[in-house]
Amino acid sequence: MSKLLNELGRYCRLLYEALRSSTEFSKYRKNLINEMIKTGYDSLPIVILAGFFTGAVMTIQTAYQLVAAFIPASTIGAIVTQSLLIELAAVIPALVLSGRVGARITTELGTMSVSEQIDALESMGFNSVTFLVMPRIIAGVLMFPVIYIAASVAGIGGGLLAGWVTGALSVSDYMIGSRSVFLPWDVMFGIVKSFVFGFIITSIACYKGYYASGGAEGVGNATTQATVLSCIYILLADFSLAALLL
Amino acid sequence: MNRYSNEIKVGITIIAAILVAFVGFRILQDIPFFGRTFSLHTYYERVDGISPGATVYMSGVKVGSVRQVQLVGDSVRVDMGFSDLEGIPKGSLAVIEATDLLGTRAIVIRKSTQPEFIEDGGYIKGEFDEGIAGQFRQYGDEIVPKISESTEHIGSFMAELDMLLKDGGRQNLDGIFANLNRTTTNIDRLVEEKHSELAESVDRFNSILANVDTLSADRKEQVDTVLVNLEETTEEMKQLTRELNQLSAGLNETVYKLNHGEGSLGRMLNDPSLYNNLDSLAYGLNNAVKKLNEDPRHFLKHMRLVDIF
Repeated sequence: MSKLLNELGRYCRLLYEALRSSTEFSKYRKNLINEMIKTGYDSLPIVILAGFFTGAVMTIQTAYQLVAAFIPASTIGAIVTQSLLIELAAVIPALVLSGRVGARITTELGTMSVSEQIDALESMGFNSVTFLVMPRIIAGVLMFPVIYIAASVAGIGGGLLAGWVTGALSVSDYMIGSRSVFLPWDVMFGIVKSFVFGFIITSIACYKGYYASGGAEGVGNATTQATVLSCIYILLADFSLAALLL
Repeated sequence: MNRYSNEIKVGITIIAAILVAFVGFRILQDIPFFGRTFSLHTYYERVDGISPGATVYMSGVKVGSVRQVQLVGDSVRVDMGFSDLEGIPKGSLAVIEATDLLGTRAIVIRKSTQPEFIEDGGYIKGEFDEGIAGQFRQYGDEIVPKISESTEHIGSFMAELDMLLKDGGRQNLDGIFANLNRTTTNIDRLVEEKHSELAESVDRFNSILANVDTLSADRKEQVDTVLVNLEETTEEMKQLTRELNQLSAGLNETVYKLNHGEGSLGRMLNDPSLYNNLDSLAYGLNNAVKKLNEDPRHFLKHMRLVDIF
């Protein structure tokens, strides 16, 4: 129990340090752009691919499940679009990127930590938290909504294409269904989720990396923990947000 | 490393995401990018099944969609957006109708014939159509017992039919069918055998008809006169009938009078005194004749022989 509280305290202190120094923007501007490229821009292909196939598979499987004669085909479009917007386009990229982004951040910071590069930075007068943690968290929070948008557009497009190619439902049916359930709030909800997921992934990865110790093995452990914890907290946050906001 | 700096890449990514989100939003909200659009609003008591994005049809064609649904006091305000449409005529109705059995609803514009259009943002009268589901709800309580009753009847009928088929009824039916088969075969054979005779008969009938035809053609004048005569006769018959009618009416009257003792005949029929008189007279006469037979001298004693001859 005390270990858990200790962990929480250290995590909060790291965040506090990061926030406290957030005014020193000029110092980490270049780092921030770099992180945004690595977190957002470079992740787009895998995210678009994941979203596309999520939508396509959902369309085909929903069409397979909905065989009752009196349910209009447009229902498939409605189900796919709404599921993507409020859940899948936010959660699946987050789970994918907790590996891709989170693991990279933890490994980077962990290696720096165990090879005492962070201490070196501190001794040179840099605020290491400002320099290393803050840009990564901001990049995550800023780029995850972009990733969410890319994933949802790719997913809806994938669903449309899959429905059309397999003949499960026509393009117009799909659009009618999508439009019939579309609420701007769903998109807002998805964007809020992606903000939270971005924050969870990057902050946990930074925390685990920043406090990594014990050589190469320690870095490996920290990376594993960061990825697993990110996934768990993403799912927990997903549940909490759904319970709070819907 | 690259032709573009990282800053530009990040900027492009974010701007592209915002643009894509905006375009996706417009597409999913069914707001076109080009072309004239206008909106109308209406009020309903209830809008079950209508939410933003619901389709608006006119003459079966999709002409727009629902933009916004808000509760305003006791009624519900619905905003509709239209595109690629000249306008909605004034006096039209926006009816919420069920589009399928499940109760999926859409707004259907019932066009009026007025030439002017409702202006942009204007008001259109709204109505709520309960549809089949609503009718079921309304009459369900009445219908359900009837349906179950009918189902029971059908069930017992089926059971009886089943029994009929099981308990030898099957054989009877088979027998009936076999007989029917034989009968039709017989008829078939008969028709085949008598085919030539039948044909002959038909031929003869045809020739008779032809003869009648020629006859009527040849004797057209005579037939005409006969017809004219017939007509006259009919006319006379009519006259006769009229007179007979009058006669019978007169007779009726007379009989009525007779029955009710009007006139001398009536009185004679209805008054028994004449009969009584006649009766007593006949009785007297009888007695007189009797006496005459018994004792003619009684009557003749005052008569002399001479007087008689």
